[in-house]
Amino acid sequence: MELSNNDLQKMLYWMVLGRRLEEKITVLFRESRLRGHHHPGIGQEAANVGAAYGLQEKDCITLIHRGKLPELIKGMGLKDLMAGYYAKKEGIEGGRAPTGSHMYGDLSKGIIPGPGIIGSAIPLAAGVGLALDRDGNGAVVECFFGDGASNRGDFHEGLNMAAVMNLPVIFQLVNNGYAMSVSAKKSTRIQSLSDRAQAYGIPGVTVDGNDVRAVYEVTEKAIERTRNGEGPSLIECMVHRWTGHSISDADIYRTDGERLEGEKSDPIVRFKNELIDEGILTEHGCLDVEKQVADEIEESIRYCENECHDPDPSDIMRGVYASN
Amino acid sequence: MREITYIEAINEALIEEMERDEKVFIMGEDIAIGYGGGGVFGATRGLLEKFGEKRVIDTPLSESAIAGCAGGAALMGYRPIAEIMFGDFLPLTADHMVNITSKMRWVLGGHADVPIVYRTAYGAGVGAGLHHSQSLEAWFAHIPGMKVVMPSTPADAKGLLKSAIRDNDPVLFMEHKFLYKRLKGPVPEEEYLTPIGRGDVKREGEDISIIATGAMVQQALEAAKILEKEGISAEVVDPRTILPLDEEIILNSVEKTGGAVIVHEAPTTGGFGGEIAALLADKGIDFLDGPVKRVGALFCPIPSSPEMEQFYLPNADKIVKAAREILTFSAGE
Repeated sequence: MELSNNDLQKMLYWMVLGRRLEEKITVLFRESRLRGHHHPGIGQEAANVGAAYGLQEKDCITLIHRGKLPELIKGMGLKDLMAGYYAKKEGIEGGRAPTGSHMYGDLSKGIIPGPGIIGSAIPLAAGVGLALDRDGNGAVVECFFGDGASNRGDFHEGLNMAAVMNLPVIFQLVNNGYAMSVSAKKSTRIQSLSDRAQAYGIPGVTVDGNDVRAVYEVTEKAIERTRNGEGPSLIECMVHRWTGHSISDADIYRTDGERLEGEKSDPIVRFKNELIDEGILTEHGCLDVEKQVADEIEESIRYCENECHDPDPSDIMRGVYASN
Repeated sequence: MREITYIEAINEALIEEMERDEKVFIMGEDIAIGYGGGGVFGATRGLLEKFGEKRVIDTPLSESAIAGCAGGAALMGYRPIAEIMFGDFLPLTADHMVNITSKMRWVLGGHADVPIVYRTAYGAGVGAGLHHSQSLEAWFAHIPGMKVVMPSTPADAKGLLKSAIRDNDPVLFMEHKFLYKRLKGPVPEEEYLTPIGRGDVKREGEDISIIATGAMVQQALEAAKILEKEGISAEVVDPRTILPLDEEIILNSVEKTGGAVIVHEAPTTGGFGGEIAALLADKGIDFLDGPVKRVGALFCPIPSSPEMEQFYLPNADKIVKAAREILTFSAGE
């Protein structure tokens, strides 16, 4: 699909929403208004938006713990998500699972919960792909995970299974160079993790994850291929992790220079400048986007803190089995 | 009534359920052709011809991906049967069973069906050794959201497997490999379902209850025959599913007899028998005239020589010995 000006503006909106949401949530954690997990997705907005923007309603995603944009783009409500962070009854998962992690979802929107065990979403996504293949309506599943997950046995088993069964799965590897505190350089001897695709006989491509349009284009090609029955692909989006792994991480294993590397190639600044240069958006228009996003986030917080309710603890026994 | 083997009963259940519901499919290692008769043991005989390779899927040696794939497909409205060739391979699937599929319904607020049957051939007695013989049911009976089924007869195997396939929660269905071709029994030709969560009294008795699972039900029945010659009337209770557990059938039996021997093939230490003993201590203490005895395997890896394996395993003689000890104690009171 050729991206219209409207699409490009919408993509910028999502990226700004992702950035400001993660910043705000970080503040809310620091203020002890939130608890649980938070793995800031700051700096990874282009990869997440570029990968998810082209998905259709019938398509599915499995979640990554860093960045909430794929699920928001797939239709999860910001208020529902925020109320999940607040562990409110009205929120996504109603206090049952930490929204700052990723074991939450909405099957009606094709949002498959991502296990809190890094990499285990990969075989799960292959199974979703198996179902979509048997349904035969051309839907695909996009499986988001990081460079750390690519060292799990489930990466090998899941990619191989999807490849050998020719399943409609896009494996979206967001490589931010670190698995918690351990650099990807310490975890593998290869330069590009997309080279691993060769081992499964599927296409593998590495793309600049700070370039939202580039990510969108390679993803579109992979999706097209998959919809044509040509099977899975592996896409590696190179990004930077601007923060520590989680808000509990003092991030002492990186140098200042390394930490600041990401900000030099800020995907949002880059995309904004491109849109302004191309006459698609004005400086003023950018401010409008910021204003809209700020209002939406504030409104979601107001909703959580003023209108939502704490869950009833006795509710935890419901839904363990079909019979309860 | 006609008699068929345990594995023929399982094969019939698979065929009937796959014919009944096109959302049912089966995936696993060597299931399409296997040794020539459908799988390693013949459980999937004839399935490929009947249902084709889209529904009878040979997979790579990837137990974790088999278990995970089943989870993904189940969330999307299919009813996968994931065959894990040997029960000893369950640890390779455990992440998906323990952490993911068993918790999906709950984490989605009850708004998800997760209809998966994990079928596996478990158990000792055939000299298959330490990596092809274990009984790991207790591990999974500790997991909220799972169900654990252990049929002991061909009729139960068929009726319970059909129920497991129709169940909307993940079920670990444990098929005892020693029984596959060795145990024949009456199985109705007309359709029937055996409910998950309900035990069965396999033999009625008055003096002592023997609560046994899986292949140990046959050993318990043997023990009952030996005890009968001594004038002792033993009741054999088969829980059939250990999660959920039919507490009532166990308590009712022990209320009647006043004594309990608990038998399973897994090592006694940490085995599911401890849970049944705790149930009796908690809710049945007034019924008991003597100690509760557990008869399980020794606490060592499973040996493969026939002599060593038989020494290792619980059997009718060990059950009889435990029953006598309880009754001697009771008589001395």
